[in-house]
Amino acid sequence: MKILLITFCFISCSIISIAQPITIRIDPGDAQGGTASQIFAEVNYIPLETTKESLFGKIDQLAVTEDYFIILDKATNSILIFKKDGKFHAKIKGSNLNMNSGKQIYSFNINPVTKQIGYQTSGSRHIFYYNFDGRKIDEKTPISSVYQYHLFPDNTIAYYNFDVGNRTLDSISHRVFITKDNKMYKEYLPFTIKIEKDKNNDGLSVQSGNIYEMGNDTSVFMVWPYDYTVYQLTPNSFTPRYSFVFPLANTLPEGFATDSLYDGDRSKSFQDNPNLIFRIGHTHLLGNNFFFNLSSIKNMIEGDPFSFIYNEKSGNLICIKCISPDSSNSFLPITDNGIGYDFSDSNFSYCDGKYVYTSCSSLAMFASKENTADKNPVYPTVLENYFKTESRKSNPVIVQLKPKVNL
Amino acid sequence: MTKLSPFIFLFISTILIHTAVFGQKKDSTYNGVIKGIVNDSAHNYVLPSASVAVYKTEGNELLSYQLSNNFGEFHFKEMPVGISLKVIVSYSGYKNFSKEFKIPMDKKEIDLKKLVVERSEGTLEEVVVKYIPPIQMNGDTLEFNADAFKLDSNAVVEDLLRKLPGVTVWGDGEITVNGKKVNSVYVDGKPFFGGDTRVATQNLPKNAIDKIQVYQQKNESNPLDSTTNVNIKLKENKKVGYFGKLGGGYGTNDRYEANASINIFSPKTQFSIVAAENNTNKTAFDINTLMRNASYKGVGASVDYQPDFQARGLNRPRSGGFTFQHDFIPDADYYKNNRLTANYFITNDKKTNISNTETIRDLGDGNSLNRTDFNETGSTRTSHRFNSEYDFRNQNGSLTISPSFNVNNSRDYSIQNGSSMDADNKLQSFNSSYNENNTDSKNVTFNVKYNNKKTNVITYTARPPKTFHLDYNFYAGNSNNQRLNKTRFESPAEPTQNKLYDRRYDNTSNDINQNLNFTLDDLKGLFFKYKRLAGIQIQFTNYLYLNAREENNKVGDRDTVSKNYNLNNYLTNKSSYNTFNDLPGINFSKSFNKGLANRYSKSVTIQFKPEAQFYVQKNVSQKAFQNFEHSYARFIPGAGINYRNDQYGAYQATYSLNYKASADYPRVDQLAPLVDSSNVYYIQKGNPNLKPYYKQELSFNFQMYSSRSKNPLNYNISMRAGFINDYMADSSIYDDLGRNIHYTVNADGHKYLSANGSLNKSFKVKQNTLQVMASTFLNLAKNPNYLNNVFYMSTNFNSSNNVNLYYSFRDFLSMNIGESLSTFHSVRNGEKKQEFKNATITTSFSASVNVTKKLSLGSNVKYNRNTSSSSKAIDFTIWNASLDYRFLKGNNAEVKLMALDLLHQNTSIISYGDNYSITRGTANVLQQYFMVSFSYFPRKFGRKEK
Repeated sequence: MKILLITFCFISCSIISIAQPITIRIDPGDAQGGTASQIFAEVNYIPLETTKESLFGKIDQLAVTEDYFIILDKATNSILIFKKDGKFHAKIKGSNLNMNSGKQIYSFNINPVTKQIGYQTSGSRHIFYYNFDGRKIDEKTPISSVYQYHLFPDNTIAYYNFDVGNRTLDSISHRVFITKDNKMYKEYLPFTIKIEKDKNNDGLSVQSGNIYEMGNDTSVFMVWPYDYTVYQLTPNSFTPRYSFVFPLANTLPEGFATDSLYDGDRSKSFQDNPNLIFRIGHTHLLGNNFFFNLSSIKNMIEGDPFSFIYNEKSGNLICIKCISPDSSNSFLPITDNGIGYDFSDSNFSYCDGKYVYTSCSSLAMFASKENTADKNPVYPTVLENYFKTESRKSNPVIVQLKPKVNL
Repeated sequence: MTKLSPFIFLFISTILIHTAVFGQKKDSTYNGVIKGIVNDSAHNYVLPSASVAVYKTEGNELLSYQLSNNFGEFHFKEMPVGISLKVIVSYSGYKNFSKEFKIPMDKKEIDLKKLVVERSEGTLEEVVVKYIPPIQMNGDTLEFNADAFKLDSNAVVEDLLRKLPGVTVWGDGEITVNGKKVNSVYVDGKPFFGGDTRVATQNLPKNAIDKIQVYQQKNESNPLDSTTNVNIKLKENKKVGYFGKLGGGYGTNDRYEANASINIFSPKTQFSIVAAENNTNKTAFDINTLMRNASYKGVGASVDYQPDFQARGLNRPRSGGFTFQHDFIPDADYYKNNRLTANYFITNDKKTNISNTETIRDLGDGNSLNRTDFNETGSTRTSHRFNSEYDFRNQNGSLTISPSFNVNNSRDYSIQNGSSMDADNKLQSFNSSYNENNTDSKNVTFNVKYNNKKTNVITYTARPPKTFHLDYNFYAGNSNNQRLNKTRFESPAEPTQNKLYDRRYDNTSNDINQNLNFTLDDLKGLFFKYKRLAGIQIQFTNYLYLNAREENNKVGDRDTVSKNYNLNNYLTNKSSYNTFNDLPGINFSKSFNKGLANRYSKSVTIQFKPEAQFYVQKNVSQKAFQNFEHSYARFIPGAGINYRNDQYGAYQATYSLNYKASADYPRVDQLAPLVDSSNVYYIQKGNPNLKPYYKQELSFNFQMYSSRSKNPLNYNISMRAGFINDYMADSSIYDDLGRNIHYTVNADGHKYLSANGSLNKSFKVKQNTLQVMASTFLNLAKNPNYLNNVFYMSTNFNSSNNVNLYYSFRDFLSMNIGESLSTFHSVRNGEKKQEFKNATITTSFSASVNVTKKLSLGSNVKYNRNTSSSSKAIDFTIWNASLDYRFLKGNNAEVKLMALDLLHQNTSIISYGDNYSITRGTANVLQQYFMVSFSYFPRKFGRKEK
């Protein structure tokens, strides 16, 4: 049985390698900057309505549907639904127990076709399904609860798996698998439990991978640490989409993820060379513009989000931190980097195929307004009203960005 | 991982706002504006936090500096128009950019537009003119480059710190950065000569400094909190050096003072020797005080160290010692350390104290006793103190071993004459005593601390920590005391009571005390692994104290006939006293956090600590009535609630309310003492029925930190209230002759309430600094007591209040105005209400002016007034003045003329009260003298240039 399984794995692996990924050869230290009007075709600020019912902390997860912004706020343990103009629509309250009680909503998924929100809480095996008006519809138990997952509209579920469980060291598991009707459908990227367990001893908490929306219903990006490839996953396929090449000084040594030579000691490599890039994340695609961020110890220590736009056509690399606001966006921040933690925590949190999204706290918005008063900025009516009626303690503001096509 | 802390962000914004302007007087030509943008045009972006500085082209005088804002922009105001200026831009990883220009006279404004800076990487080594920006960001650390600030060649670090925006050097020596207290000042990452901030800031010349670095250190126990530290980075060629002082002065009435110190440092080792002697009440209790008082000080005006005119008696302190510090690793920091420190301090003090006091004692029922006492004591004390510490820390934990020893020797004598009068002031009895006392004692202590707390630089995978802390203390001491007591007691009223004592004591005692503290941080993790148990943290603590004391006392009375000292069989005794005190406890705590990101964060932590105390005392004596063994088991719970409210951008408030129960156990001398009747007026007798007392206390603390960047206000209040059941109260029985017998008895009803608060605010406007510091302490207590077998309840209230204003203008003027008031008020309830009151108010003013760079004038005046309910007020004023002249190239020599107590009014007031008496009097004190002193400061920083 085991031989059969491994053979199957080899087949699926060889299937992956057939597709040719796009090579992104970049030196992150040499990225370009610009002003807001040079980089973006549109920068829109959408203040989220602040009422007693809708008051929340910060956007821990964002999804954007045709009509709504759907927001997870872990501090109030709730999912909030706002209309696209920022008006409050509905709220799904998680357990009233405090955040340490183990009923924390830790992530949600959207099915745009059935217009459903599915969420899971820590300490529960169920996925709870709600509609966009915040009413509960269903409750299902998936195969397992410990994985990161993505719901496809056809009801297949893709899982990112980092569980090592109580299995024997030489048993094989898969990094990615897909279930259909709660039955195993496809499995990709086999790994032995031993390798994963050894990596868990590294002392670096980077074992979680991530699934990012691509702005369409049928495919998502998948990434994980120590791997410079960005994968594209659909209910039926799993292909490498991008392959990064960095300058030698930033590149992990060959076999870093798998070679037992590094076991239990990977964190030391990062201490010795804080410039090593060990992870790619927050991948979004808008036309030719590919958004991503990189992680190294150096940029984490310096609080630099290390976030970029790569234009597939021109090969230009834009550094998000290097974009300065101008009159086109009323001199307001593009991201809250340096004045708040929204961007360093969540980066661009969603891409709906038309825009990428981030958010700014009202504290950051008002501080920026104060600091730029001498520039006499002209605000759109929405913001004019916002600054008039709201305060530093109001709900965050959604920042909706559309980069220019030819960057 | 680390993010740019909001504090540093705030600090940067302060610097953006505060455009520090230097230079001499500004005239009407200083009305120009300079603006521009720092740009990397190759990469098409602006550079925020770039260092931008404006200089006069001629003479290269720094006029002002800023960090560019988020848009890469800079904006200088009040700049001179029509003369040639230079702007220099620098940014880490970029080549410096420099441009000369003039602000046009007509427009009074110049827009330098985009200043294009280029990256320095990959460029070939060119002949680069080295440029040092005044200010720069290096990651999360804000750096000020000393060389960019032109100060007097004799300036020290403190003079530089006063120049920096957001930095306040307080009148009491404390340093704050944007209102936050600087926790530690390091030199090249290490404590400098024992860590006293002023030793570093008042000695290190500004010219030896490379950078002043301001950075944040996260607090281990509270990740939300962080402390601010300053590191003084020495120039590469100034890491070796020495500094010191050689000084002496002589004055009228044979007043003199002399001191010498030398401090030598290298990157790994620091060594200093210091010695001082005077007869002007300048007493140092440790080596750090001596080192601080021998500091060079720079060019800034400062109120000088004064002799203590308040101190009673005349003192001749002589002291000295050495300190040593060696680092085994060159780059010690928070995460790793391997350091040996040691210091030795010897003091030899000669003291003469003469006092006259009057005591009014109200015995109730209209009876009162008045006493007058004359006391003269003379003492010579020598003590040797040696302390050392070895500190080792790495990622896996830390170990500290600190051995120390003390040897003390004292020889003193006292003469006491007292008389006791009745209510009609008729003499009832009098005594005269002569005492001689020789004590030799020595002790050794040894302390070991260990914890296995891991401090990894990079994140860790969550695992139940098994962190424990061990702290062991060992103390062994020996004391020999020889005493002679000659006392004559006579009573004209009752001559039969006349007594004469001539008694000799030879007492030896040995003590061994041990103490072991053990803390296991995560008891829950040990037993329940990953179980949450509703988020409750459980910590185990155990404090164990073992004390053993052996006494061997030989007492002899002189036979008037044979002139021999015959053994006093009652007072001669051998005994051993052992106590076992164990306090095991479990600390349950749970935190509730509430926060809205970017709005506020609030947290409440509730703690409950059931703690038990097992206390066993055993006394074995040759006297049967002194033999006892008591064991007690007590429940002494503690509980607390802490609340922290952090309103981002506005303030940070912390509140805590704690409850703690504790017990105290009667001592042998309270239970069954050997009563020495030669102490005629005060006989302490035992009470074998005395029970332990049980105290319950509630304490409250409130602290407020403003997060505002400009002139912040910080204050705190703390209160404490408690009551004691079975309070160990005094029961006194007075006879008509004024003699009294005391017992300790249990009485309920002791209550107390105390409060203290302080407030600090500083204002920095251009070159003026004004600091306001106010503090108050209030204490209210109800003390039950018995007097002649009648129960009384006394209510005592005492307070101490201070307000201080410090003002300084540039390096030129420094002033201090202070007002303090302390009061005592006692009311005794009984058949007849009795009331005692007294108060002391002092108003002080001191000022120091730098008349020229070399000459400074100082003066201080202190007005004192003491009032009391029993007699008329005493007023006196102390006025001191000094003239200080520095000469030689490095201001290495100083001549000082001092005139102290110019008005010849200094008086030492004795004023205190208790439940039913009030005492007032005067003591001998240092008075007017004039002195000339000379000091030489040998100083060298860096090796000789070849």
